[in-house]
Amino acid sequence: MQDELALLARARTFDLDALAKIHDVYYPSIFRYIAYRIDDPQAAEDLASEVFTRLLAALKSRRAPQTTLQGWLFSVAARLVNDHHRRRYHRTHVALYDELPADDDSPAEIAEANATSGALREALATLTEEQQTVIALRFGSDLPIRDVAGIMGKTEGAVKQLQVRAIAALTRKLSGGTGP
Amino acid sequence: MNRDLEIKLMDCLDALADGSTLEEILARYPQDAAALRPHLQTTLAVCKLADSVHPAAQSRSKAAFLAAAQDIPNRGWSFRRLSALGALAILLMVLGLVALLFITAESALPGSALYGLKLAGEDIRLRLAPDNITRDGLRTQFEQGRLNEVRDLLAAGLDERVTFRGEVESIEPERWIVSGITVVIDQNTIISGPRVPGVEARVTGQTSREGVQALEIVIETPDPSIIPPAPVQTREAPITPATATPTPTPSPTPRPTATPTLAVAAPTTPLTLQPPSDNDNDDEEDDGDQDSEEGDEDHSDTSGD
Repeated sequence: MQDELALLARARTFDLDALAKIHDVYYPSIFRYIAYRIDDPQAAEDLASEVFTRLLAALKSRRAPQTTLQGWLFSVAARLVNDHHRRRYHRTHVALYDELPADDDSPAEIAEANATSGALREALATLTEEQQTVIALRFGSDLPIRDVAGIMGKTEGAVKQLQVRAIAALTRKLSGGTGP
Repeated sequence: MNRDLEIKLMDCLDALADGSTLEEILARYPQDAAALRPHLQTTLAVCKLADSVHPAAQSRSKAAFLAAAQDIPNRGWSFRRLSALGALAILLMVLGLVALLFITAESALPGSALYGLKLAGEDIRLRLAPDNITRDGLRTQFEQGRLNEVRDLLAAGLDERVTFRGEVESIEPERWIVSGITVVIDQNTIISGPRVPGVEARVTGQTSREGVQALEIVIETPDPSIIPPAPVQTREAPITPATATPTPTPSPTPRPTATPTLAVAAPTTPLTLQPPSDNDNDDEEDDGDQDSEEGDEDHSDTSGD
């Protein structure tokens, strides 16, 4: 936390080293969160870059975050994702960045994996925004419960419960509405 | 999902995040394994869904981000740099104020708030003088300044303690003139040194309507051997003017100083007129007649003439 505040203080002076470090530290988790939410890797890259562009704009106009940088970045990312969904921007394509098939994967196994992946994404899209956010933050960005709670403004217990209910809802969707 | 299963699933998800395998986790709750398994499998599938960050895309994003940051005007004005600039600005302001104070103090008179600063400034200038000639010149300038201050105070009718040096131009019983300034003498005035016009004197007193009411006058002579020692540090009555009558007791003769303007000579010994004797007279007359008649003899005796 102290490191984040120190980094933020230097960023307010447009210290290039500090800004570079901010990008290195937060870009991967921001990108994965966005990619988790919009199922479009190219658009996810664009939106992830846009998050940092907005950070610069906030620093220039003295509206930069004062206490937490991570929470601010994810809140901007969430707004961009919602705007993206609102614009109904959708590309029907096969994900370009799927894992490369292993040498011993048969075409059937690869097709099954893609179908599962597609079904999972469709199921994710049916969750509430809070459920999608917690799934994206916990499993997309791989953030600990504590950080997710800080970003979402909830207690850790509330985040755990939200996570469980999101997984349960996903399981129900994937199993055709059956199951516990 | 009932509450009990929810709690167990929370525990299982924590274990999964800690790196436990699916079978290890289900072994904790063997009776609920069947209910928990699908949720845990969904969780594992969700984890695999995460996209990997591609280095090229990240590099492009970073390059664009930093390029945009470099285009921001006034970038790099760090707190440290701003603090340094602020400190410099404050220092310059303080120096400017000090300089302004010294300039304002130039016209300060004794008794004013800035007068001490004026004297301090003169002291600094004396200390910084590169040589004795410059230093002497400054002292002369500052002494003239003291005289001007006294004149200004007198003109303004202000009552202030002053000290100045000047030439004693005239001496009267109750009033001296020192460099054109009237110095009032009374029974409380302490006068040190020979009281003669033409000498330099340091006067300490209080300005008043009549002039400078002297508290102390110290006569300053450049070469004390020129003037015989005079009574020092005594309270005396004002000087009475000298008379032409020779006094029966001899008094020391004050010698003129380097600038003798009004030298007062006093007889060293009283003049006495001896009545002429007969013998002496005849001889002188004979010599005189003889001389006047003849005119040729050489008379080296000139007594009585």
